[in-house]
Amino acid sequence: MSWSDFFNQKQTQYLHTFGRGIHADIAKNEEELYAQAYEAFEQKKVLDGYEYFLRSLINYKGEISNENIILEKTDDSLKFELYQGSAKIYATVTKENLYAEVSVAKAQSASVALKRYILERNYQFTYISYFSDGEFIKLKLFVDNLILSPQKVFYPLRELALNADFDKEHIFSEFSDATLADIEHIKPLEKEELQIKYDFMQNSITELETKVLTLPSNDKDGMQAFLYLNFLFKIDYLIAPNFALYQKISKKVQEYFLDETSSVEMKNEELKLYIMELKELNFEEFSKNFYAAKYTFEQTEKSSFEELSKFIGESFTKIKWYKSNRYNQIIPTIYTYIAFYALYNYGLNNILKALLHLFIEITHSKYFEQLGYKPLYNETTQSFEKRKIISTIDIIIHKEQQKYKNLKPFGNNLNFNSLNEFAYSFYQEIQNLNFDE
Amino acid sequence: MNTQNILEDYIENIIQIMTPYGSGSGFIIDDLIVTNSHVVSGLKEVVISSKKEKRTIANVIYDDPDYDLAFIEYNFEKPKKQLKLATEPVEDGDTTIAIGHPYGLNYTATEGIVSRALRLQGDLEYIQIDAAINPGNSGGPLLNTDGEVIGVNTFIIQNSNNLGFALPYFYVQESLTNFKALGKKNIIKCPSCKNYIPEENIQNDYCPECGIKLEVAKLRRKGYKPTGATKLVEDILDKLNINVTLARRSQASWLVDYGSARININYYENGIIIGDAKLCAIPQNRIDEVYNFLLQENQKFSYLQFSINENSIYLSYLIVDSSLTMEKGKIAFDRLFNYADKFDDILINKFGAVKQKRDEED
Repeated sequence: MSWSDFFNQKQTQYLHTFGRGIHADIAKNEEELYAQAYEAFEQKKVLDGYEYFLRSLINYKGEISNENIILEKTDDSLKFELYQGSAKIYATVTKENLYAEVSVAKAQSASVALKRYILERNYQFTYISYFSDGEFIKLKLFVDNLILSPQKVFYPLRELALNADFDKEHIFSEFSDATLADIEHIKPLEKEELQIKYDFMQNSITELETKVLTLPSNDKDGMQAFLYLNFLFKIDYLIAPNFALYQKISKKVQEYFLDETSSVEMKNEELKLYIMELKELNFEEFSKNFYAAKYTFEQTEKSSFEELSKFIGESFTKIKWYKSNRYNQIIPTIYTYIAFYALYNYGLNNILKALLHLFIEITHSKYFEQLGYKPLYNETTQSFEKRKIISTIDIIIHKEQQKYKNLKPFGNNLNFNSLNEFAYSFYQEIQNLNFDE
Repeated sequence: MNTQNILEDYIENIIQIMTPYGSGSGFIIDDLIVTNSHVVSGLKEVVISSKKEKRTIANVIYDDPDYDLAFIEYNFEKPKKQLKLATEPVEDGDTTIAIGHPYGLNYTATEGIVSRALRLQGDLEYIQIDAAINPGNSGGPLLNTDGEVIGVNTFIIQNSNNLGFALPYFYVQESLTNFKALGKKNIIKCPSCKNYIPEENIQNDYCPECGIKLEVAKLRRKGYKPTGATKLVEDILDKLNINVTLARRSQASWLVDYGSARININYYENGIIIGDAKLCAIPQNRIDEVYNFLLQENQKFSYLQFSINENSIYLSYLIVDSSLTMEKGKIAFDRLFNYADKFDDILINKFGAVKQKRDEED
């Protein structure tokens, strides 16, 4: 690592939340801890196994633990608290079993619709279930420790954490009478940051409306879809809302991709109506949709590099078609859509995530500058912070080069002539990465 | 006669046949049930049911993989109006009716047209029809408009206008005559030399006449033997006095009726075993009270849980296969069966929940 890398390293640690991941580094000895957990479980050292396993899930900002899991071990039990967004799990492990629960809402505040919702959720869950202790509605997990492995603990615990977080957000947005329980650990965002996010969303809507007007009167449905979906993915990733805003964006995206009966034109209209709703949203209402929290589990299932590479290839084909039909105005949107779509849908490894994030940081430099980061692209002069971009790529690649020996930094191969040329070369270089271990 | 009348007239002749490997159809001709060999999957015992008869275990006493035919004996009353084999060949363009249980739907009649009266496939002639017969139709009868059996629905070629093929009635008649002439049960027809071999004469699965290895003999000798967690689930059910053969719906699913409750047990590929008891439907009044009751009861359970799906209340039990032991499984399943019955009654009597309507042939 060069000296310039050393100074730049600090700037790769982001102070804000982007997207839906754990927003942190995993433990450096994660694999080792996981193996130790496996061994301990094999030797029937149940509490040790749990301890190693849980330590492998602790994440970090640099060298400092995020304290997303807090452990307390005695001779005959292990107690832990695990954080996942709005959910806080309290768990006790004995040699015989694991019992974990999350307080979701106050029982007295629960309407009949909420109770129906959680009883129907019980049918969908595999390991966990809702119950009421009279005071609170809680989600619980019970695991028998007869035969254990880290995987046998991982999936039930992940189901509890992700669903408790999702349901607390859903309940808050959907059932206005309900009072959420145990949310003291989530922190509000600074007003200044909220204002930047709000302004960014409103400016993006204005830009979107202007861009839609540039589309031809016919043959535009595909391009319009790119614009609207790119906007929703962008908002989700860059301003990372919670509660109703997050839930509705997810719902709109899901409906768009699952609806096989409506035409693209009709589906576009649906997205447009929702975006108009966002345009009308005032700052006060908007601000209710944000909080800072700690996360332990990723939401998306792991995806292969091949999946991403294939998606980039398919997108290149679309770009080629639009180019040859002289619809050049849509091309920059498709380039950003690739990154936003991939970050939203694929469980990517840290390198790919960091590279796609870098691409987004370059293409949305103004927003990042407002958040306090050094801009990597100047829209007025159309110039790149070439050295910074190359060194950031170096850092991202170097971090994991021990694991992936054939991984090579590629900053010097990039084409910095224009934003489109840069985007094309950047994705091409991503496709060329070699993740052989 | 129209299709619906034919179905109504002969419905008692139609038999559903179930094995751990799947289900198919069959039909009564005199004192035997005729079906396909592939439907009985080389087993000596299968589960049968009909419109009038509940699920019962029946013996396969003739298995002919060459014609893809099998005969099963039954010990219930013959239907009032019995199906008969046709005596005249069909012709191109004739209307046909295929009866069976496609996709598990009970007693469905599918109308079609003979597109080729005799189509040669290998050494055998088949009736080719354009009716979209489905896997559950296998072994069921193909009738003419007089309600006579012109063939046994045997296989389909998918993705080419769903062509169906039926083994013509004359092969069935020939096999019935030859089988009955022997005066013996448990006959396997050798697919190589075409001789009718009594099972007792077969050694090491070799045909005593031509020396070929008889796959059906091997399968019948071995029977269905579950292993691992599947076997453990069946052993637990057996210990709880459940007739496992009757309860079995596939290699990894079982259905148990216990009191007023019906419990489905499924063993999934990810190693999870779930027992779902579908209890009553939610009542029209006092619904909030029912929800409170279910949520409070859930607090007391470790492995069991109440949930709601499509208006019905479920009591479920989940366990990972590696954690299942005879002792633990016996207690848990016993509890699930008893609690399912008990809570079904409580919810109906105390809260006015609605008792489930059931198709008894399921």
